[in-house]
Amino acid sequence: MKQWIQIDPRTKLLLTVTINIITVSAPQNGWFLYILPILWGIPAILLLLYQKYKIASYYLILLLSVTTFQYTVAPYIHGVLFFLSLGIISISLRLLPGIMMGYFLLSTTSISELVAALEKLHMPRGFIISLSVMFRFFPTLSYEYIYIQQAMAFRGLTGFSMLLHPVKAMEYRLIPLMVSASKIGNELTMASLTRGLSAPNKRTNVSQLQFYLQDFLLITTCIVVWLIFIWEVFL
Amino acid sequence: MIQLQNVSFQYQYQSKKALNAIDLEISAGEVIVLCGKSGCGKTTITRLLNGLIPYYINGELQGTIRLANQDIQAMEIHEISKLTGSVFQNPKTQFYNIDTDSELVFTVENFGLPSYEILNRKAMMVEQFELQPLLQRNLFHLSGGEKQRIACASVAIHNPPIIILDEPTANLDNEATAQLGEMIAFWKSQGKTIVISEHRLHYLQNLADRFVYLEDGEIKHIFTQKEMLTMSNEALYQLGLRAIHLEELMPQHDRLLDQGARFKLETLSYFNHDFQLKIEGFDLPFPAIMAITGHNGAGKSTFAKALTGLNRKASPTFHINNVKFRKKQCVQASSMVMQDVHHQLFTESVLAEILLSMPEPNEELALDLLALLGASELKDAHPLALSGGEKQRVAILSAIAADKQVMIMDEPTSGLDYHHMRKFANCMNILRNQNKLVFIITHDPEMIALCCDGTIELSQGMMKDITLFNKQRV
Amino acid sequence: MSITLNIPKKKEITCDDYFFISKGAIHMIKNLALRTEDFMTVGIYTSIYFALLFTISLLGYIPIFNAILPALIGIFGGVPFILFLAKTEKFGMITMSGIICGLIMMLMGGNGFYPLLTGLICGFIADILFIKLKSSTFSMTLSFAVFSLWTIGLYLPIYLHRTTYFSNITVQYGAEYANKLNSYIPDWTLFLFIVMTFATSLIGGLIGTKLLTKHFKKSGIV
Repeated sequence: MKQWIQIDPRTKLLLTVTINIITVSAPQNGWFLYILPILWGIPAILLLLYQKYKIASYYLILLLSVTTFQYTVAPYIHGVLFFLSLGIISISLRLLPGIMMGYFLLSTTSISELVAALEKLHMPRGFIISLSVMFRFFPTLSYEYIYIQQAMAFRGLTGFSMLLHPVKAMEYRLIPLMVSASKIGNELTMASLTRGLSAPNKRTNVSQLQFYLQDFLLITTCIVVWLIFIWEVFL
Repeated sequence: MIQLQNVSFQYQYQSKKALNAIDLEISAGEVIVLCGKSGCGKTTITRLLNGLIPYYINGELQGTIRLANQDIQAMEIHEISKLTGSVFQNPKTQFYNIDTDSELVFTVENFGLPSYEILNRKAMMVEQFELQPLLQRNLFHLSGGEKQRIACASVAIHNPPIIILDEPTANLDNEATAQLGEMIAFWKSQGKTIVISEHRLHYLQNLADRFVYLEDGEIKHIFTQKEMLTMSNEALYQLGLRAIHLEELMPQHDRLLDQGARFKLETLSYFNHDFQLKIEGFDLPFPAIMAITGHNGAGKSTFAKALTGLNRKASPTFHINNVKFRKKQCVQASSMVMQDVHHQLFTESVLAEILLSMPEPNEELALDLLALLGASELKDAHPLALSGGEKQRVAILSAIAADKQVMIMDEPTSGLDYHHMRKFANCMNILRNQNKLVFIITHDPEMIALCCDGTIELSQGMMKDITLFNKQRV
Repeated sequence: MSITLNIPKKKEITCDDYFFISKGAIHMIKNLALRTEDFMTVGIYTSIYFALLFTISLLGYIPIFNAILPALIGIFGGVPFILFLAKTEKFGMITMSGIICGLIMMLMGGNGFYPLLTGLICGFIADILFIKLKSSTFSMTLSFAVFSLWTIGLYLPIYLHRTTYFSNITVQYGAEYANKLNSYIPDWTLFLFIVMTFATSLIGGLIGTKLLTKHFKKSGIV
């Protein structure tokens, strides 16, 4: 699946950090009245560019409906309902762009590219190993969990009866998951060691990372946003 | 090329030596097969050769090991990995990456070769092993055989003189096993030294130069290729090894099946975004033990899960003795023993595990069941502390304890030696007397010959053939 | 891993002695330094812990649960983390784990810098505690409880950027409501949060160690 444009993983990282921090800490006045919508919109545009139409549309619909809700209906409700709606709205607007950006980062970057980006940023070797193993492990964990759920289904240990015994439910799910994960982790470590992962020399990476026009645009946007942020908040 | 002199090793928390005074010399270009019963020490030797012992695995090591005239204990593990490439048993757990391209070049990236060289070698591997259709794909979605091919290519890419394989065909079907055999033949023609630890010997009978038979950590006998070929299947069984002459295996066709009770399955179809299953209905005697065979990817697991109602998108309906079961009732009437038994064991004692499966916990009955399969002494052991074969017996026992009429076993004998496979076959024969219908998904022709009453062959999501060995009508 | 340095009892120390001492020191540093497999262990077990944490935090979308997230993470996160501790022998692994958790939360959760900061600090202290106290049920539970405090970082923006946080709400919902909400969460509730997280993590740690002994020790995985 060819993308229309390529964005360097380092740019993605900068964007993720920027969007996550600014959307939470920035006041909703002055410059930020214009900046925040831009920051909210960037993940949507990127997701669309990378052909993740389903997620992008969910995000946009949620964002638009929550914003309209906030300005039209919300001022008129009171009491418990208001409190609940406040919760949902504030969480959506504050956290969702950050989460979407994080999702974009993870789903559009292969581990190899991520490692290449981190190496170019001169991150310590051990840190890169831990991080890349983590991301490689997440899908494994979800598959293992599915198998365990299936095994439980055959023994009639799912559904309602489990809600009544939450500790048992946790034990029956977590223990096999961790046994599996330990075993897989052990085998993975052994295989990786025999493939020279512990070699002390500098590691090559075939992923060619390069900055294009879109990267420069996005990076400049981030820098500007940060400058304004520091100016407004600290000065 | 490889020399082991008076090597002994004992794992850290074990009381017995895994290897005892091993002396072995392997010349360059030889293909050596290490064989023997489970626990004989063959895996330990492979770990010595690729440096995992003593770097990662703790224990007491005595003796000298030399690779290409260098003392292995004076080398760092990454230096050793330049000389040896290792292929492991489980394709799923040996990959560091998620996509095939990155995985192929992982080893040479670690060694720091320049980019253009890496890409050259990658192209060479793709050509040599015909990996073109496997590029740019998610490793999790490949079949076992495809995964092993990628694994082999990714360890061969840095052109090591020695290749070590630890039970590489354990999870592979016959076609993939043959492909692996071709890869080994190719490496042999390149002059590489190959050490394989294996149960399944038939695909190696014309490739290996010597077969080293180990027992209790000692080398008992070394067979040359000629000697091995002249051994009969029975002589091999005596040694605990699997048969070489597969064409001699005869399924039992004199077992009479009760024609009275029947199991009838109605047409089963299931659609997924990447797989389609359509099985016409069939009618089997009940009880019976049927093997489900077919290539990896033919849909055997999918069929099993759909049949038992585990797959919500399929709507199975079957009749046992004219009693109808549909959808949810199918789940309640069936139980499954999965390929990886770790997914199913989660209590702290074997007895507790069996009691958990019972619709009504009955300790006496549980103890009877244990005695039935000869596992009484295991009753207080922790399931996870048992050996592979024993764990599997526990899983089978808890499936029996659930008292369901339909049982499915997924690849139960894939890594087992002859002795344990025989035990399993005996279990199955006992099950037939327990009035159950058992479907066994398997590639193991010896096991089929020992205990199955017939086979259902699947291909590409459809039923290709269904036969009963005693020629009764289906 | 104890190393005996043969320092001869002389009045002066010669160059040879310096050589032995430095060789011993290098040997010790080599054994203490984190190796590839240690980093992989960190990655593997942190991923289990984090996956669990993430699943629980999805509940945080329901406003009521939002407040007790650290408590839930404390109770359920104990099991994977204790297993991680059982496999940890060197200093640095727990700190790394804390940094990674904090980093990912920062990249994903929209709470500013604070998760990274708390991850680093709590991870570091938990690390020192665990290595100094040697492996035992007590040290594992305590270490986990300290480590769990990193989740407070998710809430620090409310307390430390109070004016900004509530001025935003003022803009959206009016001063009356903002002030009311402000009064519900005075500064001392932060202290309550910390205590609650610590206490529930002690429980989680105890559950973890109990399950560890019950299953993993018996089966020889640890």
